[in-house]
Amino acid sequence: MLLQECPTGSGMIKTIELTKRFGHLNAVDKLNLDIPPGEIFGLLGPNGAGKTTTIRILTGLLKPTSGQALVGGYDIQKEPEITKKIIGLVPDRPFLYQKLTGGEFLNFVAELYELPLEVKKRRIPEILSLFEINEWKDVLIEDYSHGIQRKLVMASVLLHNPKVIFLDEPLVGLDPKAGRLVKRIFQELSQKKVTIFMCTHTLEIAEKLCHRIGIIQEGKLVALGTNEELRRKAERGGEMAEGADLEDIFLKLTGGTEYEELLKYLE
Amino acid sequence: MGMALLYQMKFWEVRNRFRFMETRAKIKNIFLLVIGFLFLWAIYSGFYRVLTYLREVPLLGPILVVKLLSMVFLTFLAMLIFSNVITSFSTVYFSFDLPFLLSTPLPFRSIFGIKFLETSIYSSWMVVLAFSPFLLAYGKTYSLKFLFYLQVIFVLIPFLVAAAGVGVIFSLILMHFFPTRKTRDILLILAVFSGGGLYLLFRFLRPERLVKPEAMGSVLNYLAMIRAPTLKFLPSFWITQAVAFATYGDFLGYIQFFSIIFLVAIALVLISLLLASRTYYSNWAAAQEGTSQSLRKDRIGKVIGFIFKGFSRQVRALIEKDTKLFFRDTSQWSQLFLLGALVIVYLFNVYKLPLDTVYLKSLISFLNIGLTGFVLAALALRFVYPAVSLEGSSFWIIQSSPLSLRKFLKEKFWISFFPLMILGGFLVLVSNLFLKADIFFTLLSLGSVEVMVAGLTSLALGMGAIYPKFYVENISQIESSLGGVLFMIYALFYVGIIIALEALPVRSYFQYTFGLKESFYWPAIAIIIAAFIIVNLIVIWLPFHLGKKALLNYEE
Repeated sequence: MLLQECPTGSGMIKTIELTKRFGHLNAVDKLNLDIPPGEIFGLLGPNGAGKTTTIRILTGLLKPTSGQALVGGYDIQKEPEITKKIIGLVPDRPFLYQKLTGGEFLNFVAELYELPLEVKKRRIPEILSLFEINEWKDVLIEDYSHGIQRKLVMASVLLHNPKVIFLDEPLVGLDPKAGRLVKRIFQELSQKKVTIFMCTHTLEIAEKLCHRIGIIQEGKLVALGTNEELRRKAERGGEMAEGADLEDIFLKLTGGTEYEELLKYLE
Repeated sequence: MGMALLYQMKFWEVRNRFRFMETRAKIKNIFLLVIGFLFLWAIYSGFYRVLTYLREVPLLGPILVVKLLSMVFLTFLAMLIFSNVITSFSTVYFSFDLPFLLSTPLPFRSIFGIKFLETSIYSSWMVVLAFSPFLLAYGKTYSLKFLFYLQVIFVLIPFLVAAAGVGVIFSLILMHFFPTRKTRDILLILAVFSGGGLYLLFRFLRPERLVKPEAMGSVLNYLAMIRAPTLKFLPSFWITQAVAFATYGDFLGYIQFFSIIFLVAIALVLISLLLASRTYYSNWAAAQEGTSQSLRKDRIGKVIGFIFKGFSRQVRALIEKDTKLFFRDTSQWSQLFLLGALVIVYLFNVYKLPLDTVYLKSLISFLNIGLTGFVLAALALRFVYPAVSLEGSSFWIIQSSPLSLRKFLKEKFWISFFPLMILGGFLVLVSNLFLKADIFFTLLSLGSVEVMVAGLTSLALGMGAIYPKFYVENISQIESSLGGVLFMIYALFYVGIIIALEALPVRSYFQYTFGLKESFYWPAIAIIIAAFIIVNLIVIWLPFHLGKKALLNYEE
């Protein structure tokens, strides 16, 4: 299993009793995670389970109500600037400055992260070519399609060589070719000890790509482990068919099987 | 059916906004309402005094009042049309809900209908609110009864619909001929330019002459001016007549002009529906297409790199980004036209002031500090207050980057401070030149205004950060929000305090210059200087600090 190839030990991402409340709603409830360097970690869960909130806290976009979030050993709340230097974020709805061109946007990001000038000059054309958006670099972002905007965001995240990458629905809007490219990039980065934390509903990607998966429901972590470990956990809770995939496991653990009754209505 | 459903949906939206409002927001809004009411009451009292004065002018009184009424309605109409033209583009063609609505089986006519209504409401409510104190003061001056107000409301509705009709037809026609997004840019320039033009025109008409007949060459000139034919083909003339007839209880006369406005409104609605049924969908579809123009030359980047060499790379990158966004977004840079108009009108007014004594000139040059402060406050509301909100949905880029919010706000501060500093200095120096003020007043004005620029910039920026509005369809929604109104109130209060603090030293200086006093009472002056420094330090530091804190705790 891929997980065994990753070194364990000090967590690159660590949450301790992380809690976020919105009014009376517990969006994230005492979440404890410890993700080693180089791991591709997938956080799955039904809609409104707290996945995006977790990513937003880990990247400093939200303050936790209680608990701690550490990235690269730094507390994102106490040392936000140092922490943010080593992370990259692709949010679920990555709005960009519509009146900048793609090239200008990448240049802006490079300056924000204070990339050395010679590195910036080399990296920007490299990364534009990698995502095949070179011809778009002088066009205003407002004229880009959704997919090209996603490629640009992905490019901007890789620009400063982050140690941890957070992705909320990373493959939405990408064409199959770009999707495959991104998956390969993740695997290569993982080998270079870059930690990847992704939230997704595309269970197939999580199954193929992630070393470990966490399943979150109503803000609580209900399961954590490799694909195999999750299967065993699901089996303990009741009958699990031979050859069941992550979707079956996910539905079993999150109580989604009740939908099957509803689906009969359509037949 | 489709229309009814859409109206119901809009009603739900408004109802839910109040229903799901948090207690804190409710308290804030009640506070805003009270403040707003006090402001309107102050305007009402002012108008009441002017109208009572005018009405009592022997012989000419009633003519003067009607003339003022027609001027008010002309301005009312100009503002309505201006506001409708600008709003109709964003509402009819670029609303967030349009892709959804147009994907439903609702007929285009119904969707257009609801957008017409939205345009009319968005562009009218504030204008109507601003004009209501005048109409109430007018009614009170003539001790008019409930029936009069009812008649005014009845005639106002078709008047507002007609103004919306003009705005919507204008945008329909132009979007038909120039359908891409660039067109909206061109049109916005046109609209803002004509708005600026109208403002200038109205200002140069100098309505204040009405209340100062003695300033006119002769009685004949004065009579000629007030009897000059008003533009009879404009709805503003018809509504003036309708209101005048309603005042004197002439119901037939009222009905005559009411009918004209009503028929014109109906005609405009029908014309716009006809045009929309032929062009709306294709125009909307075309407006979604980009121009994909290529922007290879990066002159702005080079200029900024040169000017802001001493700043850190992060701040320079932010300055470059903000400058590019400002000059590429027509809805922002075209406001510079309005700024130009404001500056010209301001200086023209100072130039034309009939000041014949040294005392008056000095007094005005002192009060000019306050007036410049008010102008700068208005500019800060327009250009500085929205600075944080304009990051819009892209604010996550800043939030997730290693840039500190302090640096982020510092950049916004400097990029706003420098242009305002130059403008404030220009205004005060040129007006003092016109006023032939002495060196003391010139230096005092310059120093005070530049300090106020720092205070107002920080206040606007801080308030904009405390009340950010990242998700808006157009920039005017940021300025007219709760925070914008509160900023204006605080800013006016701040300028008032500065003037009040300087009044005593200036008075002593007067007395000394005119030989009424031998020396200054230094302890009092020292206390005032200390108070001046403390007030400004608080206004410069506190909003910036609170704004930074608010952004740190900002949650969507």
